[in-house]
Amino acid sequence: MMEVLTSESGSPVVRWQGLSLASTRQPEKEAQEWVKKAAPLLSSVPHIIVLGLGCGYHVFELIRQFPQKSIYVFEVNRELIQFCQSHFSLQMADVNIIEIRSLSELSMSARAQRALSQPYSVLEHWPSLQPQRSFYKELSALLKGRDPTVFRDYLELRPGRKDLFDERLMLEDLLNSETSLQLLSVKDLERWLHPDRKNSKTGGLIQVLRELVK
Amino acid sequence: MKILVVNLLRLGDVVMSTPVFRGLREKYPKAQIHFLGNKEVRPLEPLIVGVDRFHYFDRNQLQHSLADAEAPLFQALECLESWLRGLSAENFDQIVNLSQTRLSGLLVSQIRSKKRTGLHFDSDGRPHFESSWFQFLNDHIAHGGSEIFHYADIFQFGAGLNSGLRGFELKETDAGRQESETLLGEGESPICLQAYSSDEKKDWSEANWIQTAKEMQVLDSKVSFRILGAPAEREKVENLVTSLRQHGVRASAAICTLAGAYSLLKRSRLLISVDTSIKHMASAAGVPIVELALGPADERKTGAYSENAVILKPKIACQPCSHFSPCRKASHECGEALSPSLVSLVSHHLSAKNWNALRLIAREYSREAQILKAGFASDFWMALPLETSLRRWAFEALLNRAAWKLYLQNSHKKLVGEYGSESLRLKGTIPWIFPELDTKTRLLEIRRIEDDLNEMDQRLRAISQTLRSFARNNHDDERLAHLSEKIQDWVESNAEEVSSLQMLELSRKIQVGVIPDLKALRDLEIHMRGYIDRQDIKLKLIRSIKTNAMERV
Repeated sequence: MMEVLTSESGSPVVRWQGLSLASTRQPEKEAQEWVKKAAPLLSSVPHIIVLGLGCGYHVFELIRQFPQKSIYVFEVNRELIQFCQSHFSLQMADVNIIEIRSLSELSMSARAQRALSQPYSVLEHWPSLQPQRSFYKELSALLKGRDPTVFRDYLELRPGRKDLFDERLMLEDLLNSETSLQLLSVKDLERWLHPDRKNSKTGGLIQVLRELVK
Repeated sequence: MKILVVNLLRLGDVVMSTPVFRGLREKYPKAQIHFLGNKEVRPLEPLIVGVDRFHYFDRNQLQHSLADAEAPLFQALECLESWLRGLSAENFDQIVNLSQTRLSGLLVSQIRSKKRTGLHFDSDGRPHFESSWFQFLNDHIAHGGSEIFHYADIFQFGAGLNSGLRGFELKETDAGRQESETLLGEGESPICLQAYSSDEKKDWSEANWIQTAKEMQVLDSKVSFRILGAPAEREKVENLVTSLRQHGVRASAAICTLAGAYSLLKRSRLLISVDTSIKHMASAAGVPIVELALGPADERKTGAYSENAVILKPKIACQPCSHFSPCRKASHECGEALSPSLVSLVSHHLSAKNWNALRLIAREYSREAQILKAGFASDFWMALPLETSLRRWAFEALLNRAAWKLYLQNSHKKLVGEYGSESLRLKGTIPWIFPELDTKTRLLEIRRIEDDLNEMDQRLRAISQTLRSFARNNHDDERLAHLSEKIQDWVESNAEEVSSLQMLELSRKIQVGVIPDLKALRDLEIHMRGYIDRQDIKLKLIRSIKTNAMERV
């Protein structure tokens, strides 16, 4: 059940199933701290994907500090989306809120695809994720693609990338217990690159990246 | 026309690239010149002259993205892809890659351009240079060759700018001027000290700096000091200033931006510096420089590129050491070998442009350090010893360098080489190198050099001939012994030549009865041919100098 409280600073704060989705004291200040922590991850990417809309304070702070970036918020709870839209209608105009209830919707939603069409960072707003923690965990892993168990699904989400890699090599490695326990890196991408694609543009870029981590 | 100059190294390397910007601007007045550097060199941008657009490579961000488990797997790839797409959209006519690192070569290969000069790779991963100068930088210098041109010269020659370019160029900014005014008293022209570098091995001890400043104050009671430092070095610099003041030295800290530092240098009477980018900025500012070449500082590659500089090089066998490994000595021997009294005397007399006094100091302190005068001896920069006993060595070094230059420009393959103009330039250095000799004695000295060259030429041709026939015919013990003897002989008289180690190894193998493979022999034969070509160029140059000098006599 959703209830709306008033924080000590006088701003509305949502409590969902007994869990407060932002600080009940100073939600704006809490949002500033959250953005400050996330800022180093954001300078190079044009798209920011935020998991969890919560009460929206962290999203507004992101817009304020990164007006040039396109911000996409993935949220499960329709009621929460409606609440934010009615309470903060003006600010919400600058945000792309995407309602998502299952992982398969990612590849079907045109808006979600647009979010993934440019280099992006994924930010998790922990207070907002609490009611659906396990779903958001899976969503985050899929959007990051570093977990070997979701890598093939990650590739499905990235148009044009799948053909670059050698399916057989990839499967061999992914089934290998050692690889399956480690997070994936550019070394794996280099290893799995299809022999015919070694001299491609992407092959060249992967070489540049490998040079950076030598 | 659109040209992209790439230098993905540090601040000092970008300052060393400034003659290339100016040269390209003069050669192609209507061209649009772009520059690509690491993001960290952005503070230099307001000072750069002749560049229309700047692009920056954010290496740290990409590395962070690659290493951060929270960043999406393709994030770095996609960021790089998008950044390169933007650069390729510029449709460059030419890219000149001045930084010969593998990373820069790989990056340059990904940017669309009609022509590329400097390291780049083809789709099969093979390296290309499109310039004998950049090839030389890669093959010769990287493998420890002894004939080393200053990087700034290689940048210019490699970019196809063959003559008339000297000195770095930066411009003052209003902000820098204002900043320097806040650091200076009315009409004050201080001596700047750059005491700290990015590598501790290049630094000199604080006790030495204090003693030097004290002694300089004795030599000139009116002198004042500014200790330069970036904002990140504030604490170290302020501590040094406190210590200097405790010893009665008039010193204050100059914590400033690069623009501020440049304006301050322009108003200073001297800079005493370890190997840093500030030293290169001082070259552009035209301020006299005393450079302390310590640790990995190799003055041949990155010395003070100015005609008004003296380099102090301690006589310690391991200097210059490697940039990448820590000092293996129990103490910082090269720093300890340079005495504050030498540094203060040299600084005092350079400030007064008293070269006779500097020559005397060079003789007095010859056991402690080499005192090198930087300058544009011929068509390239070189630092030559002020010590009289090394005069002949200095002339031979110049001759050797001139031969390399003509060789890299393929003069020996042209019907008419540029021996005349190069020999005239060399001849112009003779009075400076042998100031105490009269014209006839100088001519005798040159004849002696010619005789030695002729003798070496004959020996080389004999080895080369044996090597060639050996590589083409069957081996037998007698021929092997003969070849080994000749190689040994050559190695002994050319200890510094780049392939000597190769030759020595080959000779040892032959002595123990191992028959060298054909490829090794052919590689050596090619190398010997290059060496003989350079000997030939040297002989032509010396004959030309001699003819010219004899006409005078």
